[in-house]
Parts: sequence; structure tokens; C-alpha cells
Amino acid sequence: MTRFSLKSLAGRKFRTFLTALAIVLGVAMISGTYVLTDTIDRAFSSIFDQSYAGTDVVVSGKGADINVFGEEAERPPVPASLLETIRALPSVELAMGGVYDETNAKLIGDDGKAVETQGAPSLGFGIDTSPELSRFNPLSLLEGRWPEGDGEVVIDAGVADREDFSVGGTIEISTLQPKRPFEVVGIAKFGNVRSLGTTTFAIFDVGTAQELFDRDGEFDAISVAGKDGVDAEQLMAEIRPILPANAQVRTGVAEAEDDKEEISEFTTFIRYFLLAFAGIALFVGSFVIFNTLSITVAQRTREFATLRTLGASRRQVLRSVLLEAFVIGFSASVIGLFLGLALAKGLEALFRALNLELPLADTVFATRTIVVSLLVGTLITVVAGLFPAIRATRVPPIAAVREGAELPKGRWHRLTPHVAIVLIAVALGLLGYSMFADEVGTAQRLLSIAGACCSSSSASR
Amino acid sequence: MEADNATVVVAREVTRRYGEGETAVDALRGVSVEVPRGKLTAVMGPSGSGKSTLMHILAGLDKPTSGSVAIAGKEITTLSDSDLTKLRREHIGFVFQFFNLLPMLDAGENITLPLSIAGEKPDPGYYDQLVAAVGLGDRLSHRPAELSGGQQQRVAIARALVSRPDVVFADEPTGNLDSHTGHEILELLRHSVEQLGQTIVMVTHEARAAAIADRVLYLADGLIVRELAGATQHEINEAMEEIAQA
Repeated sequence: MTRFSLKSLAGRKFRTFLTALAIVLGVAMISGTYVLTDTIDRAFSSIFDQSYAGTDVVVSGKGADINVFGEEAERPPVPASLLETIRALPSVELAMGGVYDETNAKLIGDDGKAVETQGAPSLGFGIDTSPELSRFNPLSLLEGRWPEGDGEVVIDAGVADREDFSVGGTIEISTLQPKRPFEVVGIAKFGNVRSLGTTTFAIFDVGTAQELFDRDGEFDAISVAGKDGVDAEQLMAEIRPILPANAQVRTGVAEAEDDKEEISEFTTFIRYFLLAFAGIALFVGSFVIFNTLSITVAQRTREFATLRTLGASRRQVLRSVLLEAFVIGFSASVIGLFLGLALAKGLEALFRALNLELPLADTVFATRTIVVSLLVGTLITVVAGLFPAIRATRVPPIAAVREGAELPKGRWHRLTPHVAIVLIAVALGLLGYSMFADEVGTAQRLLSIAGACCSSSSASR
Repeated sequence: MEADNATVVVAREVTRRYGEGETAVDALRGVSVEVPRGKLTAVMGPSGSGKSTLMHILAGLDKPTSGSVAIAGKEITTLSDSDLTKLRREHIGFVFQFFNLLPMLDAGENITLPLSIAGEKPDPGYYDQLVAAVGLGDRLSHRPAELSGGQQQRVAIARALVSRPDVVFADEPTGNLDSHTGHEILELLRHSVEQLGQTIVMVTHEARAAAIADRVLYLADGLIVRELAGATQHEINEAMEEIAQA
């Protein structure tokens, strides 16, 4: 009976392939989404791990102990005088005070408008770039030099590429002070990625940043490295007594974890957004499967009836149809899984085309991606096959001797594959149009998608 | 029902009514039949005489409106679907007018399909004997589409015999074949009765086919109107004419 199911499928290779295509695409979207978001997650994680690599503990202001929608209260700055006190502590090897503003450094493009970050931060840092303190610097220079004094800035490679800024040029930046021009003296990258998506950053020397972001005599954070053999706990214990009431000290590791968590909220959002599309694709796919299996079951009424006369039980008939669904679902899911891997690369390009750059690390192909993709694709196909399978069990054995139990082939059945290919091309064209064309109304997009669904589902017949 | 070992199928006072009320049609109006073991019984009659309905009911494909049918001593009219499935598996073989081979399986797989369904392995000796008897040794790996009508019916006969059922029901087995090929199929059926000891019930409207039977039953208007034993084709034709004139 197993052989019967498998050979039945093999006898309908083309139709099986078309049917499976819907599931392949849905599963590809699932696996693509996971691969993409996992990869982004890892990219950020490695950035944060790197940026805190040389930092044992961080002293910062302590925000009010409230938590609104997962966002912590903003941390107040700490007095700059604290830096010298910390440096004087016996276990402290090095300490650096920095200004870290996440929203107020707007870079002005050539068109006179602020560079759009699409909700991503526009970072303005004041970092002491003296060589002995380089272990605290999360950035590395690609070109030029670090800023020295008022009027100089280093910007990130991403925005330099997109907005065509280069070393030696001038850029206007608006901060908490009125906008004013700065000379671009260098181009830097964060960790090992050229760009943090649409995030922009502007690096000033500490004094300039203090002035620009209203931090006179203050730091946002003091990064501390202990002497050899001093661990973070010891260092914190030593620092804690000298801190003012509104300051706190935490390990670099804890800070990195916090930053990672913020980013995973963002990637989780993207993930669910894309998975919703995968869900729609699989929903449509399940109808295609349902449709095709219903039709094949109807066409094979006589076969099932014959099997019954030869002693096949209802359960065996059910199993044979479900096995077909399982084989379709599983192989489609395997293909979809690997197509998704390619799709992740495609999505990255798509985001880039939409000016929504995402940092990327080595592609992450997690076990969860494999398990979820295979399970969801297979399960949906089998569930969609359940009703046709039950219908097959209702075929009475006497249908084996009734004439006309088999649907006659139409005059044009030879042309069916060609028509199907044309319809699929139309469907893909419409989908592409709805996804990529500019200046198209939402209604037109939806119509194109609906048209695409219709043509692909009729093609599968 | 009596479990007489010499009788495989016993039907008593079988009626079958289609529809209800004034439009009801009585296809069978009280038919009693006994099918003896190891013999070929032919059921003849003009179209609409109820011969197909009788075969469907004897084979458990259809249920009678009243009356009883027993196969191998077991009453079948009251069996559940799963018990009927078991009955078909163990006791019944079918040969169809349109062969009903499964197109995706090759000839050999089609022949052993009833065993695969039952989860059994073919008995190599008997299988080889069967394949030799139907003369398909070199065609076993061909798909039905690559076989002629006669060859397909040979495969179907081998399939019906492979599980050594108590009775094989053949529904117009030559109805879809030319006369020469039909003749070969009839010889094969006769051979399986004589050499393999099979019991066959064959529905046919061809006198030529009925002539190979040990016994011929004539149905007209839902009743058995005549019975001949060991009749020649000529005698069968005469009987047919008489019935048609009556």
C-alpha cells in the first residue's frame, strides 16, 4: 500500500510539483524569516559583546526604578569629577568617561533635510580616543582619524556610503544646539559591521559632545577596566561606596545583555511581521493542497473502489491518501527550508533596496528553523489532505463496477501543463508587481496578490 | 445457513428494490442460488434482467432488500464494513469488465496487490504457477498501459486468484475484448477451475462465454427462469431465444 501511494504520486509528478509549490513558498518564507532575523540577532550580539569586550564594569546614572512597556527610564548623567575618583581606586587599571546620546545627533543630508533613520537611533557620542583608552572604544576607524576638538566629527561608514560623505568634507549636524557644520575627519564602523542598519552615528571629542548634548561637567557613563587579577565583582565592590546616590555600577556583561535584549525586541517584531506573510502563504497553500487532493481523489474513485474490492480497509485508503499528503508536505518543506536560506539573502537585498539596511553576520541556520519549517509545512499539508482522505474512504466498493466512475479527460488535457505554466508566470508577475512596483495604490497591490492567488490555484488543477 | 463444504455461496429468496413508492423498481424478486465449489457458474440474461444486481449482492458489493446470502458458511448481508473488508480479503476475488488494474503499478505488483493489502507474502510456488498459467512471465514489469486488453485481463485474473479465494466473481470478463482474445480469457477461466480448483461465478450475456460453464442460470425480470447444466453454445442460444419469446 505504501508503494501504491508513492507510485500514485510519481505518476502525477507535474501536478504534485505544482501542488507542492505553494507549500514550498510558504515554508521558504518561514525558514527565510528565521534565518534572517537570527542572523541579525547574532550580528548585534557580537557587536555588543565586542563593544564591551574591554570593559569590566560600567558606572552610570540610575534611572527611576520604573519600567514602561519594557523601556527603562532614561539614566541621568554622572558628574565628571567621578572619573578622577574612580581612576584613583587601587584596583582600577583604566577608566574613561563618555557621552552617549541616542537621539539628538541629526545628520543633515545634501538636500538640507535630516537623514532618515526610520526609527533607528541617531547616535551622538563623545569618546576619549586617546590610544591608551582604545580598549573602551566600540568603534574602529576605516579612514581618516579621530576628532580632535571643536568642529570635527567622525561618522559611520553606512551613512557615508548612502549620503556620499567623505573624509575632508563638511556635514551639518543638529544637536541640542542649533545645527552647525563639522568637518568629517574620519569614517568608522561599529564592531565588525559596516553599518547598523539605518542607525547613524556622529563621534565628537568628549568636550564637544558635552557641549552639544548639554552634558557640561557630566558623563553618561564611565567605563572601567580592573587591574590584572581583579574580577568584576571585586571592582564593583570597590566602586560602589564612592558613588553618589543616583549612580550605579554594573558589569560590562550585564550591560551587553541589556543592549541585546533591546535589539531582540526589534528583530522579534520583524520576525512576526514576516511570519505573518508566511502564514498567509501557507494558508493559501493549504487550500491548493486541499483542492488538488480533492480533485485527484474524485478522479481516482474507481481506483479506491477497486482497492476496496481487493480487501483494502477504509483505514488503509485513508492512510494511503494521507501518506501522499505527507510525502508532498515533507518534501515541499525540505525544499522550502533550503529555498528559505536563499530567500534570507534575497530579503536582505530587498531591505537594502528599501533603504532599510540591516547588519549581518555569518548566516545562522538554527535547529529551531529546521524543526519549525519541516513541522509546519508537513503538518499543514497533512491536515489539508485529511478531508479529501476521508472522502476517499467513503467510496463504496461497488463504484469499481460502475461505468463512468472515472472522469473522462478533456479535449485539451494535453495543453494543461502549458496553460499551468503560463498561469504561474502570470501569478509570479503579479506578485512581483504588487511587491516591488513603486507608485501603486494599496487596492492595486491587493488585487494583484489576489490575482496571483487565483492564477496559481487554478494552475494547480 | 448451512455450511456445506460443497457449496460456496448460498442465496435464499433475495429481493432487491431500487427507489420507493410508485417509481420503485424490483431488480430481483426472490432469487435463490447455490454456487457449488470447484465449478464455473454462469449467470445469463438480457440487460435489465437483474443479473448484475444478483452478482453484486452475492459478492457483498450491494445489500439485498430482503433475503439472505452466505459465503463460505458466513451470512454476509448483516456484516459491518470492516467484516466485509475481511471477507473480501480472505474469500472473494473479482474480475472486472474494464480490468480495473491500478495504472501506476506494474503487472507483477497488480497481481500481488491483494496480498500486499492483506500484509502477506506470495507463496512462491503458487505465484509462479499462476504467472505461468496466465502466460505473462515476460510482461510482469510492464505497466497496464503497456499491455493489450487481453493481457490486462490476464493480469486481473491472476490478481483475483492470487489469494486463493473461495469464489471469484467475474463481471462480463470478455465484454471489453475482441472475440479471439475473449476466447483466450474464457479458456483461462476454464483452466483455473479445472487445474487450480477455483470456483467462479461469471455474469455474461454472451452464449459463447456461457458455454464454458458447468451450469448456466437464466435470469429474466428479476427471477431465475431456467437452469442448464453442461450446455453447448447452441443449446444456450436456443434457451435464450425461448426465454426472449416467453
